[in-house]
Amino acid sequence: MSTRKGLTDNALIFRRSVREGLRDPGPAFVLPLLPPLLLTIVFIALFERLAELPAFGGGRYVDYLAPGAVLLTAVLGAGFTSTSLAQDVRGGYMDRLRLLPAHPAAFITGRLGFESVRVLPAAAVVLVVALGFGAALETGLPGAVVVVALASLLAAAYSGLFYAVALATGSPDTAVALQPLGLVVGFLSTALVPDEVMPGWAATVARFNPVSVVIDGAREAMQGSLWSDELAAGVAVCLVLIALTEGATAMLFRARITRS
Amino acid sequence: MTLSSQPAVAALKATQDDPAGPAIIARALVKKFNGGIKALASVDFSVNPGEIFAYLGRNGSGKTTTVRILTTLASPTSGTASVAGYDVVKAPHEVRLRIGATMQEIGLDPVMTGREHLELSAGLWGLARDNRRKRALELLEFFGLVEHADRPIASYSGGMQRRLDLATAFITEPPILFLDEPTTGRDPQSRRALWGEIQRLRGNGTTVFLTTQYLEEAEALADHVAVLDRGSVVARGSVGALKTEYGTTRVEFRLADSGNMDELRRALNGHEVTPIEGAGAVVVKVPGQDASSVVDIVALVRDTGLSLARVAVREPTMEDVYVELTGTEITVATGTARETS
Repeated sequence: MSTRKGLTDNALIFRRSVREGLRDPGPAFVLPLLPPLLLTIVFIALFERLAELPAFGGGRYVDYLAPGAVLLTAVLGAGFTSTSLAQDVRGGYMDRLRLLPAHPAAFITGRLGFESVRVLPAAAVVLVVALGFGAALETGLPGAVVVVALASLLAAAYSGLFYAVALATGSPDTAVALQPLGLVVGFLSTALVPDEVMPGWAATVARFNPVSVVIDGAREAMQGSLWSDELAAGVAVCLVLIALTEGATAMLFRARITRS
Repeated sequence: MTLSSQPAVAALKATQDDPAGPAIIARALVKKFNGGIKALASVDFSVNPGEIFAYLGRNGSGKTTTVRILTTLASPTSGTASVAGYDVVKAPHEVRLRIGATMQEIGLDPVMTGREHLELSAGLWGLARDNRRKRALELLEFFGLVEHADRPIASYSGGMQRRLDLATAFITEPPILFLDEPTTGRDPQSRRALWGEIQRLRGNGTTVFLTTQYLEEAEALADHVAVLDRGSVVARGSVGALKTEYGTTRVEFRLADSGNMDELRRALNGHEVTPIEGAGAVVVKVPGQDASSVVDIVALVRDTGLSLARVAVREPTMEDVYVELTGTEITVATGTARETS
């Protein structure tokens, strides 16, 4: 099959997801936005003096929080397209599509493309609001673009987990059921406070949480230098996560469609 | 009204590598599901290019499982199958390029509109954007869905969903078409319309693999028939050959005076005779479609000199064939099968 046909197939499935998102804007676009936005406003009001702790390195709390809040858009409200994936498989629409000479991977990757786009408005709004509260952006517009792009990449990586679970369970409720996990991976990371100020086990979890690596990369891109080792590590973590979750998704997809 | 085929659509048509070779071959196909349930015990048949092939069997006999394997949706536990010369397991994409299919259980996305579904499907077939729109509209018109084109599929009736599903199979008019019980649950008028369309497609050289539990459908359309029972093909051949081999001709004699029954039965001694209760009539069963046996039996009765009110000859039907082969009858009206006592 030609590459061009593969791209067209992806674009078609992507567009179907876009339509789905526009029809159901609440879970698609508002859900990733609302918690990080509220959290930004409330936490800045509550915890301004938190930054006096030495672990914050002398900056203001809003500076620390901004990149974390932007990246939380990727993990809170994730998995929108896993619902239709499970429904397609369960309801037989996947069979209908598989009868057509399309590249089967496009049924996953076209959706994944939308997951990475869906988070962009939320990430941009949270960033603008944080900047409005005076968050530092040393690297200017390129820094802002990098942080939002990182949120997009993390959203793709994290969505893969939803696909894998949706295919393993066949349940369209996967997105709703897994969403609380976003609180765990989001809050037990370096999004809100550095791991140094966390008590015992929480610090350990945050230190080894892959999301922390991505957030540290974003923080460096906003407030340090644009291209840093931290950023490279964050991107690498996202790519590894994508490879792992999509690998599992591909296996489960194959198993599910050949079982019947 | 028939579906025109645009040049853009025709250009997409992939053809069979060897046009003279069988369109479909199934060899020793076995399908076991998890838990060891054997859906197909061992299925063999081949379908000639350009013919209508009816795959006849009641619910649960393995029709859909066979179609799912042939259309690359499921893989066989063992055995091989090829469609248009391509192995369904090794070259599924080549197979998909050459088939259209509609499944008994319709899977559609309820939130999409009919138009969106057809345009997406046409796009996945490889039609360019303008042609997608044109083709979707043609199909919506042909299948009587134009007024509902922009409503969500969730609002469609069962019949409309079936028509939309069928429209998907017709997007490119591929050389081989699989129709899994396309007329089940449809009203007689739309059934006739579909029969007409299937016959028109055969006229264009399309091979049609049709599963059905309606015997009259197989009889009306099929060049060849395979009868499936409990996961095995129990007979295959042309409708005529199957009737000759497994069918029964029935000759009915009705006496003018029902008091002469004993005399009539004596004359027919040695034949399979079933009296019709209280009607002064008998039915004589003659295996196959042997005209001279029928004439001989009529002559036997004539020689008795009995006065007859009625003589009727009923040709064998596919129903006879089916009952003979499977020991079950299909109730045509409801399309469900039941065991005969």
